[in-house]
Amino acid sequence: MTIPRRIAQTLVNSLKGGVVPRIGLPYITVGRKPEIDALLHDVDIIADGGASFRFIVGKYGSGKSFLLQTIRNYVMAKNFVVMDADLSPERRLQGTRGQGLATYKELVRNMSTKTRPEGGALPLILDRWISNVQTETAAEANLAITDAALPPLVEKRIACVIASLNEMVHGFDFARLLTLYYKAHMAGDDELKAKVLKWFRGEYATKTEARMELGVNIVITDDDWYEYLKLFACFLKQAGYAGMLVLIDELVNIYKIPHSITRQYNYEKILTMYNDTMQGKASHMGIILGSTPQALEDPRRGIYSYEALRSRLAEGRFAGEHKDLLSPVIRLKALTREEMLVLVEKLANIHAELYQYEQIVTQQDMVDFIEIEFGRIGSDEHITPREVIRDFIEVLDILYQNPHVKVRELLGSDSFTYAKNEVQEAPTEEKFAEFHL
Amino acid sequence: MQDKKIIRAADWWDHAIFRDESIKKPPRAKKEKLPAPLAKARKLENGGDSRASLFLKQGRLLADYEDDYCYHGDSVRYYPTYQSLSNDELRGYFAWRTKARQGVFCPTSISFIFLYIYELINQIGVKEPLSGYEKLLEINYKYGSGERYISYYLEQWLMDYIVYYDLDKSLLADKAQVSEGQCVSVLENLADREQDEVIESVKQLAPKWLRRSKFYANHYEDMNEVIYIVLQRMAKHYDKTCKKNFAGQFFGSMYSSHIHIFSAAIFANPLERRNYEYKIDDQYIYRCANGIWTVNRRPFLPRSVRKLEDLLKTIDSIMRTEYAYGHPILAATSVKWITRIITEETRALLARKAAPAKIVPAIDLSQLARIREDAEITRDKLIVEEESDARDAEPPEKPEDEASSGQALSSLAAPELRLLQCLLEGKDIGWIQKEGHMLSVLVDAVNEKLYDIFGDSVIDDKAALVEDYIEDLKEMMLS
Repeated sequence: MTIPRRIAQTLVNSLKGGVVPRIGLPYITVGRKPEIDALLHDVDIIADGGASFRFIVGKYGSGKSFLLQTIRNYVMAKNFVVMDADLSPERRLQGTRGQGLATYKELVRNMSTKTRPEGGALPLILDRWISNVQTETAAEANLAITDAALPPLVEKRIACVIASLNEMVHGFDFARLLTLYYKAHMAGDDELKAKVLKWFRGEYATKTEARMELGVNIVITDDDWYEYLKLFACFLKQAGYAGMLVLIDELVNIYKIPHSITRQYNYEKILTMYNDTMQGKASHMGIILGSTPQALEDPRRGIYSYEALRSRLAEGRFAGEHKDLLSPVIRLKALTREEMLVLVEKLANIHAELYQYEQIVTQQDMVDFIEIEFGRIGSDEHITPREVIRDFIEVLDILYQNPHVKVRELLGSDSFTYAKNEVQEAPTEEKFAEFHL
Repeated sequence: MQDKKIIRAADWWDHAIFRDESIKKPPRAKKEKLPAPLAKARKLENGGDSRASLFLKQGRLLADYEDDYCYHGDSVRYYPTYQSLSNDELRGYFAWRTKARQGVFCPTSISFIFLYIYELINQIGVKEPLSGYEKLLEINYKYGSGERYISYYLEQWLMDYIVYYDLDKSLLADKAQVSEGQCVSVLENLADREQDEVIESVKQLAPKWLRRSKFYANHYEDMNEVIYIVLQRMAKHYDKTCKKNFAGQFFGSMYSSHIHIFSAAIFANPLERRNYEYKIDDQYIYRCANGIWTVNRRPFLPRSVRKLEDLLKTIDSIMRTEYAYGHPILAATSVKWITRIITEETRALLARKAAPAKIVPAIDLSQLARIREDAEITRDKLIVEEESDARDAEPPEKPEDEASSGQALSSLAAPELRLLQCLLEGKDIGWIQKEGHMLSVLVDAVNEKLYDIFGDSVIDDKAALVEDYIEDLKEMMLS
């Protein structure tokens, strides 16, 4: 199987640097077939107008980010818009000092499409929407784009398009702002356009400020930012996109909130999201939350401490060793040795193809490598695919430059050092310190 | 009457009992003539040479002289030379020497033994230095146990002999100073040394405590491991924080001191050494510079041994506590960082021993086919249509592949192509708004359509061409 060279290069460079590659993930995806099938099924549901809600639960290094990035790339290629944000002490789902709104701002800032994978796609989305409406109206009315008769028709069409938003919470204001954006575009008023974008990004702190600059008496707040996500999902469909996927990772930051009432408010937000998606109150929207097992299952502080969520999310008594992938919670286990072996096989092939040499690493060499990696002290608890991949690519690079060297000799020599697990071996910041009583 | 009696008694006394006698001269001893070689050697004594030089000259003259004189006396001379002996003693010496050279070692005066030793160290009657060394050993063996001064001096002179005559260093292996120095050398380079070597050196330097310790007898493997790691950590600590390294802390610094080679012996420097160096090892170097001898070494002081013994005792004490051994002892040192290291390493060892051995299950190769197949299915599901077209087509080495570039260009709408041309040629793009288009939309459309060729956006969000792709785009437009 031939991989395009640019993809192979990006893969090797990113993996060697210990980061998830931006492209080419399908070529190195090993295992996780049921999980990916479940998520792809969700994507189909979203594209059909439905909604989905999933927890991806796994320890650090189990491949959560890899899976999220894989799905992210997939849905962007499928003409979805993706919004993603990592929670932190400053970004939560709800807070008294704007921590919820901070999450919304981050999500909108990171709004991405296929051609804008790094975020900042909101202006483009709005422009594309207007352009599409103009083009369609012009085609229907058989007018030129510059025809003076076109703008009123376009405005009328826009009003029809966004009328469906009026029924939703804050839909009227959302639609007003969209109309304002269109008018600013028609008037060539870039300043007004920028103000509208500022509003969509939740950057107006007070209603007064919004009223003075835009004439609207409403701003996105900590309490209602989620409603605007639903509005976005609906609008994006109207704008020609297949749907919207929201990825929120590092849910462990809610687990770490010291005040139990604050945690409860955040869990209530999750419950709202879950209910909306499961009960059809949201459409063309998928929500995936990334969490660690402890942040989910801890009965005193985790998500399961909130009974409403626990009763909805927890496994029933019939689940055991069988995975229920129709359940909202997808648990990621560490890749097995055999899966790691297939992964390093793929890496070896990609490396050989990229640098155009005859494959020198045999299957036995790869088996030896995996055995040595898993034979390290602490590998049960601490080894992650990241370290194995970085180590293996280092081995490939050395072998490529020194073909006479044997894998076993290399792994025993001083010229090769195991990749360090930066999280485990980094000094623990005070705010992340944990203790057990 | 009375007076006459007295007078008669006095006469009787004088004549009968007590008479004058003449003093007889003792008979003259028969003077034996000295054998010619000895006489010749005696003549050298008037030459004005130094004691050592004269000794060397006489010795060389008499190197092969043999005698069978019977001498029964006991010669007691301090720093004996031929000159200091009488003729009898001289002949007596050579008679003894003749038999000694034949392997017959009779009881004799200590002066004769020292004289012989002086001959050997001056290479008198010695064919080559190694044989002289062996003869010295022989003398030490034959007479050293009976005469303690012989072994006392020979201990040092044998070492001086090896150094002066440049004999093999292996002969010094059993010398205490040398082996101690080598042990210290091991402790100076702990990071590069194996555990066995380090422990052996420690035992040699400070054997007392470990010999006595019952805990060590029962847990020698564990204690050796802890000693080894503790010494390494201490060495690192000293290297990092102190001027003196571990060896310097315990055994002092290397320094150079003046010495007299073959001190207290009659030695004439037969090889006339003026500038010379003999390196036993890095820790022990003899030098002769302009005839002045020095030795560069670490002084091995009793307190050095005591310090090391204290450390071993402290390790023993702490390990006994951690092992809950029934016979606790007091630690000999209470330096906190040292006791902390010992405690940490002991606990780490106990933890390692407690952890079950890690069993690494073998990889089940029978699963690989299924995993590979599943991975391919997943890959195909994840690759969206446009990517799969790019993958299935012959992947172009460069984006100048005409077929795919041509395809991509032809997919661009007229305004999109025009925008690309304007950007490449640096022309004004004001026509976009005039014609009712939106710049951001056109840019996005161009990026989307060329994405499969370049794998990236070719126009950034400020409507400028990405520098990396300008040349490729120009070639595409030309082709």
